[in-house]
Amino acid sequence: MVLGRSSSFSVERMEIIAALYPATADVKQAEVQDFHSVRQALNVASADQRVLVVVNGPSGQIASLRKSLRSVASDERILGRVHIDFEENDEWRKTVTGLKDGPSIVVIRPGEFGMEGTAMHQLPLNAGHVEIITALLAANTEFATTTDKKVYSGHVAKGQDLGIYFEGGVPYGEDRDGDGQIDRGRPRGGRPRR
Amino acid sequence: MSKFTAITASVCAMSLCILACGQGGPRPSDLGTSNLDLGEPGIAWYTTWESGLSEAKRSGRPIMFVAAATQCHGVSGVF
Repeated sequence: MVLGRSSSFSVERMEIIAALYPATADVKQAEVQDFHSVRQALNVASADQRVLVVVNGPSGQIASLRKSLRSVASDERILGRVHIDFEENDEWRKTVTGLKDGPSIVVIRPGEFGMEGTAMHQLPLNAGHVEIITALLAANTEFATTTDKKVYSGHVAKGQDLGIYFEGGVPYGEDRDGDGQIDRGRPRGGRPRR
Repeated sequence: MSKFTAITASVCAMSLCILACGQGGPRPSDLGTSNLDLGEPGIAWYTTWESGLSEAKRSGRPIMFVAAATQCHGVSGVF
């Protein structure tokens, strides 16, 4: 089923669909989200204006943490307030300032355009759940009280002025006439240039 | 989040503008602010198809799939 843009319409239809499929497993043990890269995660965290948690370590420990952190990620104080990414490599470290060396759980304040971040807290991989949740709650509060809420139109305009450019997987643009081709340089209401 | 497995395909494959600005939707200059206050919980997205599909299978819940990206005209950090 494809839902339209109206949020009220979407919620109503989703409620009907959801009622047909009650969860058959404990949602408190839901799998933890992940990203394809810290680069992507920073961008999403910046857009959502949430702190980002990067769990960084060797593959064996990461596999274990994907399971053990389920109850942390599903905690009602945490769910929907942070983004979480698991990373086995260290390539991402050059984009985050204030980091200490070594495997760890890093709580990151995403930059305004999600191109970089700043470490807010850094915990060992064997940190207890209470310690992790406490750090996440503190980071969330700090972030929320020291960050200006984005007005996305102004954000885009500012980014264009600053020359911000996030290289994507496909060319940017709009197919406003529905012909399957990106309309380049088309003035609003005018004919597309070919 | 308790009723659906929410997946957003924010994989840079599609500009938010394609969704939000195309075919009669708003222009970038029309974009406003989120309805959420900072620090308040939003949708708990699964941001890879693999993780979202796995959780949907585990919990037996349907998937709400949203195709979007966190950049507009190449400017990142936008939803």
